[in-house]
Amino acid sequence: MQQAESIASRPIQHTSLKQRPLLKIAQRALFYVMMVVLALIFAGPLLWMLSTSFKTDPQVYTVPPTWFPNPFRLVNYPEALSSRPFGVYTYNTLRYALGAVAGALISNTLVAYGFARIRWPGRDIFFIICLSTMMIPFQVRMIPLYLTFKNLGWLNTYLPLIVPTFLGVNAYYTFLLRQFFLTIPSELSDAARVDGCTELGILIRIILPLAKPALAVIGLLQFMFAWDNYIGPLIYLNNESLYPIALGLQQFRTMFQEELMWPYMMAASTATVAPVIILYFFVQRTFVEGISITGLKG
Amino acid sequence: MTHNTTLSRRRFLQWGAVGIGGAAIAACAAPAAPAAAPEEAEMAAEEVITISWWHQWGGTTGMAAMEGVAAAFNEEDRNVKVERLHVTEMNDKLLAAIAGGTPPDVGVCCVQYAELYSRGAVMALDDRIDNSEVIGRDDFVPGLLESMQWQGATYGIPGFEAGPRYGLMYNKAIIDEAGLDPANLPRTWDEMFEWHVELTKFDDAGNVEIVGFDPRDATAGNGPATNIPQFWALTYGLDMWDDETSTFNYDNELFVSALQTIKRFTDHVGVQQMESFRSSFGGWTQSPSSSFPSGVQAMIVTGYYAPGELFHSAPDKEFGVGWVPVSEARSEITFQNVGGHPMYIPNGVTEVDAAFEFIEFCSEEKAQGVIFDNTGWLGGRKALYDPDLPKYQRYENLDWFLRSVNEADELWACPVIPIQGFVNQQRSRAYESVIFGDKDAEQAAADMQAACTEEMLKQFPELVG
Repeated sequence: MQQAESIASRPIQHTSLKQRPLLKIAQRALFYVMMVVLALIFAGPLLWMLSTSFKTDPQVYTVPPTWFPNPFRLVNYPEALSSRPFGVYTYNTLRYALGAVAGALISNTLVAYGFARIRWPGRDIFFIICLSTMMIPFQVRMIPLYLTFKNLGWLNTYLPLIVPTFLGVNAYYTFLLRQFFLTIPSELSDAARVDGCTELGILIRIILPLAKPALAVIGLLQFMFAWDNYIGPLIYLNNESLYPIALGLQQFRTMFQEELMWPYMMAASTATVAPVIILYFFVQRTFVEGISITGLKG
Repeated sequence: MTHNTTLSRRRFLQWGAVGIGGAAIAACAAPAAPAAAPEEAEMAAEEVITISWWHQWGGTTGMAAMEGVAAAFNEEDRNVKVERLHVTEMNDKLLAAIAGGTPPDVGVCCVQYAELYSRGAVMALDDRIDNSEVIGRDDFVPGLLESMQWQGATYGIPGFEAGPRYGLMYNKAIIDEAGLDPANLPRTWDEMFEWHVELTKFDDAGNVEIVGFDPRDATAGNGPATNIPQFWALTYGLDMWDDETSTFNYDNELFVSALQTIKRFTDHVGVQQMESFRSSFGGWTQSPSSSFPSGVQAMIVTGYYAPGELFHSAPDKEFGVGWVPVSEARSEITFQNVGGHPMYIPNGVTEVDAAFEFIEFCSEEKAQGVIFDNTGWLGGRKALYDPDLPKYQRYENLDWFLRSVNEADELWACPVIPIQGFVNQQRSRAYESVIFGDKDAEQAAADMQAACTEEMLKQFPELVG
């Protein structure tokens, strides 16, 4: 007992109580330093693009490199953006990007729900087949798809860029949504069934409200894909007035490549990535939540 | 009375099927054509034929030339009009379009042309050339039309950019400052190396400031162009492709010597420095910031278009030009090469007459004038190769290139190799493996020979032998 009291009265914790905050602070400081370094490494190219977009051409080639433009040429933006019809490109891109987002959300939700929440013969085999389609590169499908769309009379329209998204063809989105749907307790669906709800009712009333983060992830990924899509519009569109932002930017690049007008190129690039970045800021919280719960995060 | 607002699965599927089916039918439906009255049909027969023309060239000057040519053609009193499309990347789009049976009526730049010819993707134009009142076989610079032929048939017509590819251009100020005599330009690679050593400058920290000669810049390195034969082989007198037997000739001491010379020039600067220098500044002569126009490279091997490009990219500098160096054994030989981008008609085109009419127009003086005024490019017509034409005086040194075609001891045409893309890859691999020291020159040459032969046997076994 005496020994126990003596042990209890010994200031065993005293040292560690004092040291822990220091250790914690050191650990946290190290963590933040590492995060800042990593953030700078990842953000470096973007920051360089932004910085260059305000420079004069000679400033681009100065050694050592200049991060802060002087003079600060804001006029690079109107000059670059007025050299090509970027407004038309943006409008054209939105015309099919929004349709593609709607298509991906609707179709992949239905497909994923079928794989996740409804039992039917061969379901898992079909799911594996569905996943295996991710391994077929676009270049392999390019000619057959082109022939299909040609026979449908869809060339030189946005239909080849929109309609397939309504057919649940993106197995990656299906996989993400299925993984999310599997995490929703089946009791919720069972209770709804007991109350006479149909499968579609369960999907719309029970599952979808809970799946907003996952849907935000799919929506943003599909929007980014449509925004960046280069090869699809390149192949299917034969009219420059229909060109989207990816083709327009490439046209712009070839236009200024011979003079290597990096400030203009960077101004146009910054302006074209800005909408995606802005969209990300709006849905950031939902997106991050979706990333963490769909298993996207490593 | 209860009102059921739920949507049953069956109802949803029914609606979905109706919606998708309706959309598909609407999409499939061809645009409704109004019924034509007989007189309208007669008028339609005389209606204008609109052909499509795809080109990959852009750029401010290139785009102006393309737009100018299309406008000049459409202004003429013809029943053919052209719709121009700037294709930012021709390979994938053209491949899909040809396979899908919807190719452009006319294409130009930038694909592996020999691969199109050898795979039957474009039409032979011999009958049309023979019946043309505008284009004759002798109208072009010798060798040029041959560089657009495969197995005896002609698949392309020089139209936009074709001409001599090899001149040694130099920056007069750098040469003068080094005390070298531009009247006696180096004739052999040994002499050229001495100039390279004299002209290459390093700062105190050992960083290169001025490169004398980059052996892989512009047409010396063959660059990204699809139709330029291998410069280094030719300087050693090596014909690396035998058209008769469809075989390669890389595993050869001449090609080994060429690889060693490339390495020698690179090593003097340092391989890493040389590569960094080229990727930092960029090559060729079109961009003001590239090494040669910006004055940090003294000499470059490049083509007839360089004087026009330098006129725009380096207006404050003076340049000269002379014959490219050769091996010691060929020190008395001067050589030139002609090549260029053909205009072609893909298979599957229905308006062939109209398409050929446009090609004829592009090869004529009017269109050539538009192209030259905007870009400094020539289309390869002999009649336009008169160095004394006043408009050619605008670009200093252009006359040398035009004269060189007639004055060269040897005039080479671009080889038509049906696996040109593969060969280009192997060539870059061979150059890099030697300069980085991964292989010696003998091994690199032997490997290139083996790889190209194997690929040729795989793709065209019937031709080899």
